Amino acid sequence: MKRLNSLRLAEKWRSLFEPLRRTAFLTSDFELLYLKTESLADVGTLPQCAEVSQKYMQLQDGDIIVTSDPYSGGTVVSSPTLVIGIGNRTQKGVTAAEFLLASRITSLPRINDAKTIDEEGLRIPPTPFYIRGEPNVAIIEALRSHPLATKNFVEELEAEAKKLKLVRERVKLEITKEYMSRTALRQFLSESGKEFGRIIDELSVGVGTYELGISPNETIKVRAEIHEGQVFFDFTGTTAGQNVFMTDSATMGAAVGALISMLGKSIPINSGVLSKIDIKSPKGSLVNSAFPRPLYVGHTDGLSLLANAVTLALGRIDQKLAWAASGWSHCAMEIRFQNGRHVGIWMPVGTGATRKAPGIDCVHIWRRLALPDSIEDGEKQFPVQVTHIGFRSNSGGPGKYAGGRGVAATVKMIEDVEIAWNYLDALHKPEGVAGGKSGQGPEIVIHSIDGTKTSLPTRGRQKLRRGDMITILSPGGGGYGAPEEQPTQ
Amino acid sequence: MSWSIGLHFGEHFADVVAHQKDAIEQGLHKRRIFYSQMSPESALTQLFADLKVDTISKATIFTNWPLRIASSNLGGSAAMLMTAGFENWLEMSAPIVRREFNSSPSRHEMPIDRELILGVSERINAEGHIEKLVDEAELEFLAAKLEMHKIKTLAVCFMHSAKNNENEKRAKAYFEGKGFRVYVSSRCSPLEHQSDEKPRFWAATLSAYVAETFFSRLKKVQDALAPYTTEIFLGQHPIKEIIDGHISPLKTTHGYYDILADNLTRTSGLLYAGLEEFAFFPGYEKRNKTWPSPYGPVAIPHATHHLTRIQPLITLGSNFHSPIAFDEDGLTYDPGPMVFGRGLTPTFFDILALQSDLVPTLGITEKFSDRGRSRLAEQFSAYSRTLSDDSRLSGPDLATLLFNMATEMMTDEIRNWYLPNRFQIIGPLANVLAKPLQAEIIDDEFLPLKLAIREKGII
Repeated sequence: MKRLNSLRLAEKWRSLFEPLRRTAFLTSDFELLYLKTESLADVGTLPQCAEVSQKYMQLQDGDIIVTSDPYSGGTVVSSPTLVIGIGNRTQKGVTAAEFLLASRITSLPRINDAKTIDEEGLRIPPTPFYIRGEPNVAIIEALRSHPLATKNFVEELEAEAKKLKLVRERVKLEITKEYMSRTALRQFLSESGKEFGRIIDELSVGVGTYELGISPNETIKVRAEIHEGQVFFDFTGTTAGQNVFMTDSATMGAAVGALISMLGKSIPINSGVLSKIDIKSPKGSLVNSAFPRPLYVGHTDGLSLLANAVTLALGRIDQKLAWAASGWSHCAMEIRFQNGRHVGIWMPVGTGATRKAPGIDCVHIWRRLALPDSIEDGEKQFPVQVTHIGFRSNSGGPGKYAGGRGVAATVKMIEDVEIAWNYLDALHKPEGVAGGKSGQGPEIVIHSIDGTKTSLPTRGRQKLRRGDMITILSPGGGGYGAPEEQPTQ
Repeated sequence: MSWSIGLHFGEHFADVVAHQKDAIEQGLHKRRIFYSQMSPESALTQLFADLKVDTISKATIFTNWPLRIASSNLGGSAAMLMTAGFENWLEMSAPIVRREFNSSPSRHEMPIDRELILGVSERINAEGHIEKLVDEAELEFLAAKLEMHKIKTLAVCFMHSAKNNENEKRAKAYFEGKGFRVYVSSRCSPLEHQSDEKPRFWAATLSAYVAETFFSRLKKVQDALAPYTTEIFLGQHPIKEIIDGHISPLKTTHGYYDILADNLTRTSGLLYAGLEEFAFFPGYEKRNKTWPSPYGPVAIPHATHHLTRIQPLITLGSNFHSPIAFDEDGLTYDPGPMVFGRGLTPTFFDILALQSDLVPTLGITEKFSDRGRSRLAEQFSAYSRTLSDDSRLSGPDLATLLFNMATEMMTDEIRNWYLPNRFQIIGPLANVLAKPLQAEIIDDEFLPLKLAIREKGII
């Protein structure tokens, strides 16, 4: 019956939180009950946003906090998070939050060569957005008139707040019921922890290490250990960042997300499961950077790279888990037009092959963000023309099973523009395993109208003329096994 | 005496309403056909013999076969012509099957072979100006290639064709002249889909993909009706226009649900509790522009409805939380639920079969087998032993618990689409679900078909 009760709770939350795309549901003492993510960073940062908001604001029922500060638990400044307090028990006129519900908005980020977090966009520390169900007019007006606020920023926040308030009403009806009692929730988390422990127990025991060089002086080191139903990740030895920076909660999310991805089962992420995972990310290293380091590249391409390091280390412990590296650079680029508008480009990548199957062509392996991707719409809105987009030939690493292919896309400018780009390359290409070869790394090339061809470095900005073309080549995944073992078709 | 016939074909069941003209209520006959025991065309022939039908003034057919064929990968060989440079575009834009991160993300298998997706050197720009006119010499080469592959049906998907479809029209005229059946994206989609090309392209592509299989099934039904009538309609379209390729098969596929929504849900919500599908219609939102296919949105305008997570044949398996849980996928009626005697995996339908309110349901309960019932009882007994820890749980208790959980899940889910507490429910499984869902039952599961063949005196 305990397990049927767990099932009932899991299904209940799935239905209740269906209207929210990126969400975390916690008790007010920070037991994570339910998590729905769209990026690796969400895994660690969504609960962290709720926790930081509660610590500093002591939420009451109906309070909504807004934050977009990665150093207060957020991910990137373009993705603000709202946290609502939910409670039913009123004492001395105060209805303290018994539960916290966080929800994150996906907005288009700005791509630039920022040196600090504040150059990446509007960073909002945890701030009251609604107080006891009523809008905080002063803050809303301040956000609306802020020069860094994007168009419709406040409207998007208000639309999300409306959804949160509706979900809160429904949650309030449930939390008085027996199956949502503290005892029942503790039992739910305990059962989750036990089940996850059983899954970990099926893996080989041991230690695996991996070192991934980003630049000559920038390295991620990970030591993974599986032992007695527990998994431990230690990033000791990782250098300080020079170009790539991450917060510890984002690092935690990438490590947990990568581990769960490899287990091949639908595993919920809650405090019971997390009790079986321990992570050490030394302060000052690039996996636990301090304010005011810029975080966009670290919290996008950097987390994909870190997830690869984790999966490659785990694959060294248990061959069943072996998974070649997937492409990590999404070749983020922004095109700025003469009328002041801009458009962002992010490319999917090829995934690494596994022991059982080739990699997959052209996916956002660690992201499920719903961003627009219509060619006709892009061409109608902006003076550009896409002349080609398709799988990038030979970008997947050869192997018994080949890595997935990245994307090759070419865009022609219809007017003079400025482009800015910022992506992560590493010292090595996406690595194959068990004899498989590496996939191709990322590349961006400018074909000028005068016939010259220029390969771009990993970050910068440049003016382009009407008729110039950009070709973006996103990385492929590594292969698995020796190419000569490839099964005949 | 002349008859009006309404037919609703599902994947495994067909509902038939036959109305004898000039007769009143007693002239109305209803029947449910289960294909596993008899093909639709044989069942129709037998029905007409039973009723002594000699002439039919009009037969109106509804079916979602095109959607079923598309989502089950049962279509025939077809090709796609795409603006050169974008041959991979639909495949690379298709959604990932599982939302959770995993080491082997996958997409639904593409309906068209990669080697049959052919680029055409043409281009319309965003303003609708022709930058490169389609070249007949190139089309001639492509036609030869398609003939070599024995392809007879193709989709034409050119960029910005909703703005200017001159190149698509030229390609269509050329290939139709060569005897191909051609679906062009600009005609498969209404104008409001101009903002994103993919739903339009998918509409043309899936039309081409399902055409062969769909028409082969439809032809058998047409043949069974032919001795009685030539007035055969698929929804509101004459069947001939569809088989001749003038109308996309996808345009006809939501006809039954359109009737439900148009007639029953103007101010309230409605749950259709069918044998093959549960769908909820929120009354406040009448039309949807796209169908959320496994390949991504497809431009098929239809009555807005949501498929519930709990479906009639959703299977029971294990998940992280429990050794018995509702899976994400389901079975079909071949082999069907355990209670029918051939299936080996329990389904939600089996749980329903154990509820007394299900009995009797026309054309269903007589299909239950004793062997199936006994295997089902054993299965639930085994599950209950697995789940019992500190408390004793019998097999029937477990079935009741799961039934309650499923209806609670449906209620919670419906609340995401429709806030008022009360809604209506219709369909063959409405009886068993109405009470736990606190829904108001429309006690005539054949009402949509009766509305479709609306004749004075029968409604």
